[in-house]
Amino acid sequence: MKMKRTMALILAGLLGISAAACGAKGTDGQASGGSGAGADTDSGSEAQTGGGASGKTESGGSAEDPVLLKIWGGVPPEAGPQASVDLFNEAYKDKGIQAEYVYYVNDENGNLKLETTLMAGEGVDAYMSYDERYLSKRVEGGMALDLTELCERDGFDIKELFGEEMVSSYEYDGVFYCIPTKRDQYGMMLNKDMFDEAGIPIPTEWTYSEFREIAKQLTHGEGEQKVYGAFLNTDQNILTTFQYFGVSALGGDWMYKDGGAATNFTHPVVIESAQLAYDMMNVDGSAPTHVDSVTQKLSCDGMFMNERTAMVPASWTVRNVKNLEAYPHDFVTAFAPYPVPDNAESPYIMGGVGDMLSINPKSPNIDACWEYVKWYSTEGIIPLAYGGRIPLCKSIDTDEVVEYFFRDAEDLLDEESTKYVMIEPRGSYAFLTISPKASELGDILKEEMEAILNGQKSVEEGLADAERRGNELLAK
Amino acid sequence: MRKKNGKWKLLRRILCTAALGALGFTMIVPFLWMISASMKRPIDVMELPIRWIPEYFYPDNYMKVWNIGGKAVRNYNFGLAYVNSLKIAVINMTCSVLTSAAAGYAFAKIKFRGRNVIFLLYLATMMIPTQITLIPKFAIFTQLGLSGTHWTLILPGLITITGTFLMRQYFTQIPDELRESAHVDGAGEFHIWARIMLPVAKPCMASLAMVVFLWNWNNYLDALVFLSDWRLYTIPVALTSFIDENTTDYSLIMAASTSALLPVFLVFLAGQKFFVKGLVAGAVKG
Amino acid sequence: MSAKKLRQLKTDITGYLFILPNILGMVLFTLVPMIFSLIISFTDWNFVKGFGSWEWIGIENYLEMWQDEWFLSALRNTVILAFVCVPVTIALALVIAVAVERFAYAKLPIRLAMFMPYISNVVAVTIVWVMMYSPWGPFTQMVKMFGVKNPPQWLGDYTWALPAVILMMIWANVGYCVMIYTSAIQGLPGDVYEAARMDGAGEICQFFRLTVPFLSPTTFFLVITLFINVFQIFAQVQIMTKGGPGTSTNVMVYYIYKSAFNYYNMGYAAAMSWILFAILFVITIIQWRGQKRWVSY
Repeated sequence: MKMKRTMALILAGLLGISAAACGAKGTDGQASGGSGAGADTDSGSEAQTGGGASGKTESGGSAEDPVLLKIWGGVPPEAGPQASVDLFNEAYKDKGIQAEYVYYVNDENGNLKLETTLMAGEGVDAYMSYDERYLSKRVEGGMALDLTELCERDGFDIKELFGEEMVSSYEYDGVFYCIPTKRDQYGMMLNKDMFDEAGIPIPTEWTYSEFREIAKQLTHGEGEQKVYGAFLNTDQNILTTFQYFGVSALGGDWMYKDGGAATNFTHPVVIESAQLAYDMMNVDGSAPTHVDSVTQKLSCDGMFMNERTAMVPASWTVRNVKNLEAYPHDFVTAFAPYPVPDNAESPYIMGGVGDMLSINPKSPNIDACWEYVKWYSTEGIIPLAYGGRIPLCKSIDTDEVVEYFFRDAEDLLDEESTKYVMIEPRGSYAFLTISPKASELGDILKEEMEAILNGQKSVEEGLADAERRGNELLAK
Repeated sequence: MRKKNGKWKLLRRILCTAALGALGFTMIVPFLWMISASMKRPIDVMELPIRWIPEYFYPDNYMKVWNIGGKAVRNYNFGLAYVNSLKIAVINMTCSVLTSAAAGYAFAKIKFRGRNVIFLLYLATMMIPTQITLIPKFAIFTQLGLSGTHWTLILPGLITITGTFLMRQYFTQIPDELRESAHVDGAGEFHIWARIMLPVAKPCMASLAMVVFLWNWNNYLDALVFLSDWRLYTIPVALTSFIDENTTDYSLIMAASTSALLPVFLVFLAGQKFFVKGLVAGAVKG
Repeated sequence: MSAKKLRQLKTDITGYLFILPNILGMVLFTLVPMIFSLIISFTDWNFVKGFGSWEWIGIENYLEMWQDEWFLSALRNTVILAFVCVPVTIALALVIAVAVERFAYAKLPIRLAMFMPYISNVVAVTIVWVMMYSPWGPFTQMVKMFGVKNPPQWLGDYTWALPAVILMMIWANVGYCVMIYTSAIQGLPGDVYEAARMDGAGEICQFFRLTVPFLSPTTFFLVITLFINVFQIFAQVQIMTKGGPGTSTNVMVYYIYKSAFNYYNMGYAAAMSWILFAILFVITIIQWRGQKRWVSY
């Protein structure tokens, strides 16, 4: 009897709460519903969202209130973006513009979230794309503003400011829909203490066979205690030896030949790159096998910071070098360029440009947004050097960038090799210019590469199959 | 003879308990790992072989998750997400158990025309993966002007098809006499449902409540796509802020997951109370 | 005659009133999106380009998939997974639920433990299984104990990856089934058992003659919903294997998801969803027709 009463009470209570919550939300919903009402088509809602966005109480109303921009980016706030936004807010306090950094995870789900929010119209004013494939879909989908007019109005010459050869691959039929803000520089990350101990100098250029030899020399120990010469990161990205090493000979469009009409998977350099991974894992034992990487979920951070390997191909983990609390270590980290194929000319360097900043055409605050974009690309990006991102803009002072890059890790980074590999521009980059069915082709190659590394197929067989399947796909 | 039988029964009980206990223990293993990992530094989480009891205690993960003591590199707003999740889960649990009990009862006991066809239609809607209806649902919410609000999670959550199905199956196994005798007394259908059937269905409603709470608590993809303002984030979405493109901070995720488990645990304990034997027997007799 | 009709009409109205709130939600948030997905399954559509930007291509999507080796492998793996996973999980859960109810001390802690995998975060659960399948995990050690020189690599192994995923799915779902069974067991009429005991029926006999038939409506529910759930396995595969090695653990919803959000082929993904739907619908109809033979109401 008593229980019945308590239950009735609880139920009544819950209903009360839910009713109250619904009621409270109801006003919210109606408000935004009103602004969206009558917007039958996409183009219609463009005009309507102006009213909708003023639902953000701070930005609507009188002209005195600052405009609040929502900037979406995939870099964790503490790795620089927060510091950057704080600087912006300080500088634009009196000009009536404020910004808020919204962090999205740069994976499939995170990009889906960004895209749906862009489709809804509100919620994003400017955003970063990190992958050419995502960016081109967004441009096709009308999710990125044509910057021509704004550039002309303010005399903001993208080619002049960022270097014509650097940004030209982001020009779609003579139009810029984004500003590339970062110069991508990658390299091998090395445990300098291990190199010193073995008496090996830090390489400044090396071929596959030299790399393989050094990895062999650095490998020692057995079982759980084994220290590997190199880790090829194949659980996260099995294509590392192509995408990061092989591009030096093949260029950014390494997957294609004949302008994207066919795949290039049986090119000698592709074969050599696959062979390198196979030999290091299965012949020399100087890198963890692919099966080990998969079954133990080995990652670059874990392997490198735990001193279980002397080299990782992931210079982006430099951020964790500074995170001593989570990754306690006292060895010095150095960098080297990626090794290049033995038997081929290698004119390119892995990298190029990245962090493409675009404006949402549906943003009600396009002018304010443009101010932010100009500011970020020419000076606001500097604090991101703390997390390893190098500004692309030519007018930015390198010393300041260097200072940010080394801050908090002066004793943990080898200055000379870090500057050489990570900061100073060094040669022509491998730009990506075409990407038909790039995701699918990547997955085909992954599958065949997996079969190769697991010993199911020989290198030649696997790559021939990849080529055949890839060409069938492209022919569709 | 009789005594021997009693001894055998006791032995059987003990053996059964031991076997089930052992099985139960294997079920807790991931939970133990979660707690253990939540107290490690990220560098040690994936260490093999697994070290179940960390050699040190690292409470910072929890302090970071809850933003205590300024340890966190940024505020994850986990407390806010907690409140949001709780609100949505409680509303949806309450409402969907009631709507399911009502519809389940109708499908099981009221012989209205077309009920089998409609019920099959119900089942059919479960068969399309939610991933594919995500974008259409998103379009509907945008048209209704609700995108970005909690309504996107509450409105679809007010009903559950699995729950309706479960309640229907439960009501079908309840003998018709209960309902018929009430009919003879002149009671209306709503009265019978609210006063006679709901009390009988308590164990089933309790288990349904638990799983519905859980589904809402863990609803990830919908919340991720439909909510864009961090002030409205629910726990599964907040969890993604511990991930970045190259590294996943499992120790933080585990600390947050362990924190997120408490309400589910409480709901389960409360639900267990309704699993009291003899509710139906009592109802039939009384 | 007309009184009878009137009564039926009244019953109809009452019935529909009872399901009204439910049916509103179902139509708006499930049925309409479903129909929408049916429409786009006949188009070539990249959702980023916005609504209305699709191109009608008729049934091309439905023809294309039978040439697509990724789809075929996903279909095969999903069918194997479901037809192993569902019966085993349900049989196991039924035995456990009855054993806990009738023969165990400490019912609450045991039930709570059984339910733990279901309430723990799916990421946590899956990662633990990855570590358990690692060369240092209990499975490899056990196999080694039996003297096997080259123990299988489980998740890294073309033959063993799918069984490893199946085992994990059974483990993850059994607690849920135990709980649903437990709540149904609470509704069993005690006096029938009393009578059976009087007649000298043993525990095993009672289990097969009374418990199993009595619980058959619940079993029916679990079979249908589990089939649907297991056919739609996604997160575990995404975290554990990403469909690999090769295509050995590639499953349908994982491939559908990839097609829609990674390859931007929304129309193709929708078409595959409808094939998945058709399979599940046929399975469900067969069970619906067959229930008269084994489900006792």
